Amino acid sequence: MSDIDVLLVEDNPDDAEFTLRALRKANVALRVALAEDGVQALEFVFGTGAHAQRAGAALPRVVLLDLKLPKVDGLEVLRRIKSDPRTRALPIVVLTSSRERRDIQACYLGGANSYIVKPVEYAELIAKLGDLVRYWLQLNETPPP
Amino acid sequence: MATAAEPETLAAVSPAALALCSRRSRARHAMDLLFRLLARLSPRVAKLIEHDTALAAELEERRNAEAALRAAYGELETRVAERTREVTQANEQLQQEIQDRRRTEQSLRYSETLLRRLHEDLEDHIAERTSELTRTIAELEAFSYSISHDLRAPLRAINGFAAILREEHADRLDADGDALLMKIETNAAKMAQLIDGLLDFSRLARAESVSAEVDMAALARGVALELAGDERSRTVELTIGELPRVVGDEPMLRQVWANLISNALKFSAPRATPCVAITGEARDGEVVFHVRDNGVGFDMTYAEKLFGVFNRLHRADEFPGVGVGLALTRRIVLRHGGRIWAESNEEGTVFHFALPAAPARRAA
Repeated sequence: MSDIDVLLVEDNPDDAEFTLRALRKANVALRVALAEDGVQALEFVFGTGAHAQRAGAALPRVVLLDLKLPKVDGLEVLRRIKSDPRTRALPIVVLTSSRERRDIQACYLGGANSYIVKPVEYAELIAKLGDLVRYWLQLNETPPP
Repeated sequence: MATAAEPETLAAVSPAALALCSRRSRARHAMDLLFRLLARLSPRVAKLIEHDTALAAELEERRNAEAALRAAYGELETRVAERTREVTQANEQLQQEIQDRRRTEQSLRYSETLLRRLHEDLEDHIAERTSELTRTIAELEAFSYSISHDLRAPLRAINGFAAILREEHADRLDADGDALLMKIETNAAKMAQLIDGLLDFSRLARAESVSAEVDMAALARGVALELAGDERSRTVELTIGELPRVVGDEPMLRQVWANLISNALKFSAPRATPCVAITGEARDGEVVFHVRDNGVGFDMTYAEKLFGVFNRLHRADEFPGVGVGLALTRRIVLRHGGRIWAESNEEGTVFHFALPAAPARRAA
C-alpha cells in the first residue's frame, strides 16, 4: 500500500502552498509529499540520494509535475520516470502555467497521463484540483504498487 | 662596197676622158657619172631616209607613249596619294575610334566592378540586417513569452493570497480592509487581462497560418451571433450586408471580426439605439470591409495610436478592455497582405480593412 497519495513537484513556494491548500480542501486526509526541484523528485521516486530510505518503498499514487523546475526540468523528470520499467506505470499529471502547444505536445509525447493548466484564480484552482483528486484518486484505479 | 668600185672606174675612164672629150662632154660625162652615182646611191639614201622617217615616227610614237605613260603615271601617283591620304585618314579615325572604344570599355569595366562591389556590399548589408532582425524578433518573442509566463506566477500568488484572506479571515476585515482587498483583486484581474493579451499577441507572431477560401459573410454572422449573447448588445440593431469571399486563415479572420464587432458593440452601447452595420465590396484588386457603429467615436488626432499594443483612447473605467484587440487585428490583417484604418466623428466610427482579392502568397 502506498504511503503517499500525491507527490507534488513544485519549486515555487507560493504555488506549492496554494496547491497544498487546494488539495487539502478537496480531501483533508490526503497524504502529500513535496519535491522542490527535479532532482528531489527523481530521488523520491527512485529511492536514491536524500530519499535513499525510500528504496523499495511503494510509489506515490499520482505525481503532480510542474514543468519549469531548477536543476532537472519537468520534461526530463517525465522522460526518466517513463523510460524506467519500474516507474513507467506511475500516473503523471503535468500541472503548469504554460498553455503552449509545444509544451502540451512534448508532455504527451513524453508519456504524460494528463496535462492541466494552472488557473490564475485561486477559486478556480480549488475547483480544478478537487476534480483532479476525485478523478485520479477516487474514480480512477491507480496501478497496483 | 660602192666606194671600193668607184675609184677603179674613175681611174679607168679619167685619162681617156681628159684627153679625148671636150669640156662639154667631160661635163656631161661627169654629170652622167654623177647621175649614175646618184642613181646607185639614191635607193640607199631613200632607204636611209625611209629608215630615218620610220625611226623618227617610232621615236615620236615612243615619245608619245612615254608622255602618255608619264601622264598616266602622274595620274596614278595623284590617285595613290589621294587614296593614301584617304586611307590614312580612315586609319586615324579608326585608331581614334578604337581608342574611344577602349576607353569606354575601360570605364564600363570599372563601372561594372564598382557596381558589383556595391551589389556585394548591399547584399552583405541586407544579410547582416536580416539576421540582426531575425535575432531581434526571436529575442522579442522569447521576451514576451517569458514575460507572459513569468508574470503569471506572482499574479497567481497575489490572487491566491487575497482569496485566502477573504475566505479564511473575512471576519477580521472591516469595511476599509475589505475595500482595499477589493482593489488588490481588481488590479490583479486587470493584470491578468494584460498578460493574456500579451500572450495572445506573441502567440500570433509564432503561429503558422493556413490559407483557404473563407466565406466572410458566414464568419461575420457567426461571430456577431456569439457576441449578441452579451447583455451589452441585446438591443443593438445589427445588419450584415453581402460580403465578398477572401482567401486567408479562417481562425485569424474570425478574430478580426470578433475584435471589430465587439469594439463596435462596446462603443455604441451608450447610445439609445446602438447600430452596427457591416458591409463589404470588391474594388481595384482588393476586397474592402467596413464595420460602422454610431458609438461615441474617438479623436482622429490619435487615430494612429489606435492600433498600438496596450494603447487606449478612452479611460479604463469608461470602457472595458486592455488595448490589445486592435493591435492583434492589425497584425492579422498585415499578415494577410492587407491594411486597416479607421475614421471617426461624433456620429460614430467606421473601421475599414482591405485584403488582397486573391493573395497568391502571404508574407508570413
